[in-house]
This record gives sequence, structure tokens and C-alpha cells, in this order.
Amino acid sequence: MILSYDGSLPGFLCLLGHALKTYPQWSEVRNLAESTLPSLFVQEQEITTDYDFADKVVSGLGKKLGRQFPNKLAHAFSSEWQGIEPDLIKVTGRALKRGRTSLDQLSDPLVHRFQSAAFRTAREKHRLLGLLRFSRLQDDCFLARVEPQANVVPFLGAHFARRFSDQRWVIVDTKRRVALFGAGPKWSLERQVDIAADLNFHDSEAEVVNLWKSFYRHISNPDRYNPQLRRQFMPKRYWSNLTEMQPAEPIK
Amino acid sequence: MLAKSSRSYRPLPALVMTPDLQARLAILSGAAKYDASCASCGSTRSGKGPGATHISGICHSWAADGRCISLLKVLLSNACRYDCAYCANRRSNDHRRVSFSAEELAGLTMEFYRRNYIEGLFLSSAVFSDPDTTMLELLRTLKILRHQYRFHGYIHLKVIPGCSRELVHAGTLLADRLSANIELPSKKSLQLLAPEKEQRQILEVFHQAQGSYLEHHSRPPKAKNNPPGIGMSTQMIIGATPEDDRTILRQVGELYRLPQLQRVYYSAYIPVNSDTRLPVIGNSPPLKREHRLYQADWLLRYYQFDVDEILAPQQLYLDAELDPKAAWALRHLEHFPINVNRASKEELLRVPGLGVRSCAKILRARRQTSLHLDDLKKLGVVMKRARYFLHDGHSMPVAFRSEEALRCALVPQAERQLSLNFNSPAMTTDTSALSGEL
Repeated sequence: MILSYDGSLPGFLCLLGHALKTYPQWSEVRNLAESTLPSLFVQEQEITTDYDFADKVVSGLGKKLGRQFPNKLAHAFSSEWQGIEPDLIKVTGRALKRGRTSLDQLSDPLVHRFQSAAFRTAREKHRLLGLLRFSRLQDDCFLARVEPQANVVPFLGAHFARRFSDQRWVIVDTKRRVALFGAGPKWSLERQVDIAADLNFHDSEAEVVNLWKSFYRHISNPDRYNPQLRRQFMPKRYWSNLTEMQPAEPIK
Repeated sequence: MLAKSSRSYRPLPALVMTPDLQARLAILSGAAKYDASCASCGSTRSGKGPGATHISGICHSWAADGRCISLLKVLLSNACRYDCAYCANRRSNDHRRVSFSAEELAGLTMEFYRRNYIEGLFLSSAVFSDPDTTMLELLRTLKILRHQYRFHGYIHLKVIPGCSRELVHAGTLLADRLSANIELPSKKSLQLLAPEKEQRQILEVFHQAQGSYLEHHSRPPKAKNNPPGIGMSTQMIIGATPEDDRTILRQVGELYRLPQLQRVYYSAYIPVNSDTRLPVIGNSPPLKREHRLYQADWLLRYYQFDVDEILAPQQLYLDAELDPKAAWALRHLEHFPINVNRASKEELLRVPGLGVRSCAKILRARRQTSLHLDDLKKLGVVMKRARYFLHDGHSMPVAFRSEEALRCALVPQAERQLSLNFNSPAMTTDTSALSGEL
């Protein structure tokens, strides 16, 4: 039996709950956001996203497998690795049966995949806490754009709400068209967002950008020049959104 | 009346306009680049107003030299009244002298912070008048940030040695980390190269900071008003003076007994001045030696090694070819190979190539099932060096051989041929001095 869901995290949590309880005979998982064509030969059950049920799944798993587990599960799911969903269902099912210590068995391929997917997402999230660059717009809103490998933007809210508590900010994942809007201590997640083609930047923006580029250039020690080391820490795939890695522009 | 002639008019030197912010930032960040510290970890400050710190610290960028940029690292002024031989900003150098005003620098910090360029401010200064006046100006910048902008981000403050106790105390209340550079590994060298500085005065800073911290914390705890623990750090220049590695590590061992001192940074000396007391300009900095000292430093702090274990008796310098942990293991082959499934945490930590994180992973995984050597790779343990020193109870390590044979296996071919070239590019991808995973 194929279980299908809408591709969102709450949707997956519902699917996880049903796969473990209602449909233990499931064989495959299909993401409706990726392909809408139903299968002709195998029976398919569509799981509708129910936020209350997803909450119940989270609190149930948290009670049985530790408070950290739902968090780790969300990170592993957000890695968007090919075919991660069935692996996560299997790992969770096994942990519920054999106890949470089975999640430490890192030499097992399933557990290893689960742990490394969660680790990769967490690492990219931590990297982006530093590598996001905001630009100030004319209306005093700060905008950052990013194309992460994993779907990490939804995890960034609490961090930036705490430090930007007196400014409005937006983080846009241009690859997934997902955006976080923040103002004061609150933030919200929106889907299907695109950045306008003609942005009006704040008058001071160009000057601050130039100051930052100048700082970046002069803080480096030419006697220790080591571009390999820099690339190791700051992979090139992030450079297109980094202010300091853009060529210097003449001041108007 | 002066005849006005636009052609012959030349500004007098005394009327030269101060360079704009852009030019001053270039000069004052360029002057701060010799400070190695850029940590922004260990603080959990947050509150009403912009800014917060992250317990593990956040790196925001990496400069072309591969070092992380976490803080806006600048000098408030580069007009120094001291004449330290090794310093680019010394009095006798004919450099352009500029400074920021406290308001300007605080504003710049906020602009950068709001764009997520930085985690906070690293503020240092040349001593432009007496230590107290300089320190007061640094503190004024911090006060504007903390009180006017209500900034809760990270601040690292360089204390000016010789300033009064009250000012250090004020610093502990405003900053997340204080530091004072010990500059050189011995009192004698400091006297020779920086006759206006005194080692006693520099060490005094640490005691003062500890004193005011304890004073503050002996009051009934009021979580909101208490400053987070003040972590302190210091830095010394390597290769400008004749001290050997043994003397340096002994001194570092002593320094780590200082209250609150968490980290010693090493800075390979880059000749910037021509001075008969110093290596000649054009000499390449001893980066490899600095790298080995950082590795030894991690062993001292996190691996329970002693200076006498890191260096063999009569050995004055660290092995250039081998990291200090591997060098120790080669001298003590009687402890190896050890069993991954039975060794204690302390024993595992002594295996070359097993860092703190790898050991934690092994300990966690072996609780469930007995481990084979092949499993270790799956855990993410790097076996390049460790495989010569481990077994799993079933099979002995592939090639556990004599000291010479092991040395040949551990030292990369390229490095053996260029062992005297301190600038060999072979170390470019070795980050163990930064991560502490040895």
C-alpha cells in the first residue's frame, strides 16, 4: 500500500502516525507535491494533513523517545534527501519497539542515515545563522535571500526574532519560495513567495555595504593568504548571496 | 588681507581633513588584523533591545587568510605612544594616525549587526595618551552600545594594561570577554622589545577582572543583573624572540592557572619593522610552528596532557613533521594497540586521530553493540592515523610496526622531503589547530 501526503512537515508527521498505527502494511511513501499522478496497480491511501493530529504525534513521540527526538526527526525530514521518509518511519517504529537506545546504534545503516540527515540539516542551519546577509530596504525592512541545500529556513525564526527584536526582517528561500517574516518577537512562515524584481534599497545601504567590503578586505592578513582554508569553511555555493564576496561597486 | 589665489593655495599640514569613515575603517581594521582571537562563544546574553549571543558562537565570514570573522575587529585609534619593536603601530613608524569617535564606532557596529554581518564588536586600541584616558574612551563606546542602543550582542574588550582597577571592573560589567596580551613568552623578551610594558602589569589585569567578577557574584543572585561569566584570553608572538617551545609551553601552563583565563592565542611573527632586535623583513612567518603550538595547547586543555608528556626530556622544539599527540604515541608504543571496545575514555583520547567528538561517538555506539574496526568509519571516525593504534579484539591493526615504520606511515611523503620548509602548503587543509580534534 502506498501512503501519500502533501510534502509538508505536519503532513509527514500525520503520515508517520498513521503508518505506525493504522496502516502497518504500508510499503511506499509518495510526496504529492512532487508527483500527482496516482499509481494504477497498487492501492493508495492519501493522508490528509491534520495539525491537531500532528501535534499529538509530536507529543507522543516526545514522551516515549525523549524530547529531542521530534526535533531531530524534523531536521532529518527537512534534509529532503531522496527517499528519507520510509527510512524515518522504519527508524521510529523500531525505536518504539526496542527502546530509544536503538537510536544510538550508529553502525546500523538506517540509524546512520537518520542521524546524518539530521546532522547535515543542523549544520547547514548553524552555518546560515552566520552566512545570511540582510539588506535594508527603503521601508526599513531587512531582507535576506538564500538557497540552502536543506529546507532550513523554517528553523531560523527563533534565532533572528531574538536578535532583531526591534526591526522588521524577511528571509526568503528563493529555491523553495518559502519566506519567514519577522517583526518584534513574532515571526511567521509564508509559502509561494517571490522577491520583487525592482527592490528599493535604503539610501544608506550602498555606503554600509562598501564599509563592510572594505573591512573584509583589510582584516585579512596577506602574509597568511590561504584561499583553500577559506573555501573549506565557507563553501562557494553560498558566495552568490554574500555581500563581501561581490566585486566592489563604485560609490555613486 | 590675503590675496586669494586658488592656484597657489595648499592646505597646511595642520589643516589636513580627517579621512572619511571608509578610509579610517580600512586603516584601523588593517591595524587590528594581528589579533588572532575572534571567539564569540560562551555567552548567553539577551534581553530587551536588539542583539543576543549564541552559546557556541557564530562565525559570520572567513577572510582570504582562512580565519573566521565573527566580530567587527578594529582599533579605536592607532596613535600609539609606546614604541614596541614588533608592532606596526609603534610611535617611531611613519604611519597615518587616525581614530574613530565612540559614537561613530557604536553606530557602525549597529549597522553591521542589523545586517547580520557580525556577532558583535572586538574593541582594542593603541594607547594614545595615558592608559586610563584610553580605557575610558573604550568604555564610553561600550556604554553607548549597551545603554543607548540597548545592544545585547557580543563584545570583546582589550584591556589597556596599567589602567586603574575601577575601569577593569566597569569593563567586566559591559563586555562578554576581556583580554590582555602577554605579547611575548618571557619577561626578558618583553623588556627588550617593549621596554614601556611590564609583564606584571599585564598579569595584574587578570587578577583584577577575577576580583571584580567575584565581588559582583557574591551578591544574592539576580539573574537579570548579573553579567555572564567573563572569559579571558591572551596572545603571544611566536618566533620574534629566541624562546624554545618548551619555555613557551611551560609559560602557557603557568598562564592557564590564572583565574578566568580560557585561551592563549599564538601569533606567528610577521616582520613589519626593520629593527636590529628582530628577524629581518621578508622572513616568512613560522606558521607551522604556530600550528604545532596550537595543537599542543589543545592537548593541555582538553586531553589531560602535561608539558613533559608533550615534549620528550631534553626535547626543546615540537616535532615539525608530526602532531604532538602522534609524537607522544610513538614514544609510548607500549600502550598500543588498544581495544576500541574496552578502552576507557581517557585511553581513547590518547589515540592519535581520535578527537573529543570521535571518542564520544565511540562511547555512545559501543554501549549498544560491540564495534568492529570497519564500523568506526561508519560512525564518522577518521581512521587515517587511528587505524595504526586500535584493534577490536578480533583482528590486530593492519600494520602495527616499529617506531620508524609507524613514523613513515604517519608523515606524508611530501612533508618528509620538505621538513625544514616551514611554509609547506601541505598544512593548508589541516584544521586540527582550529577545531581541536587531534
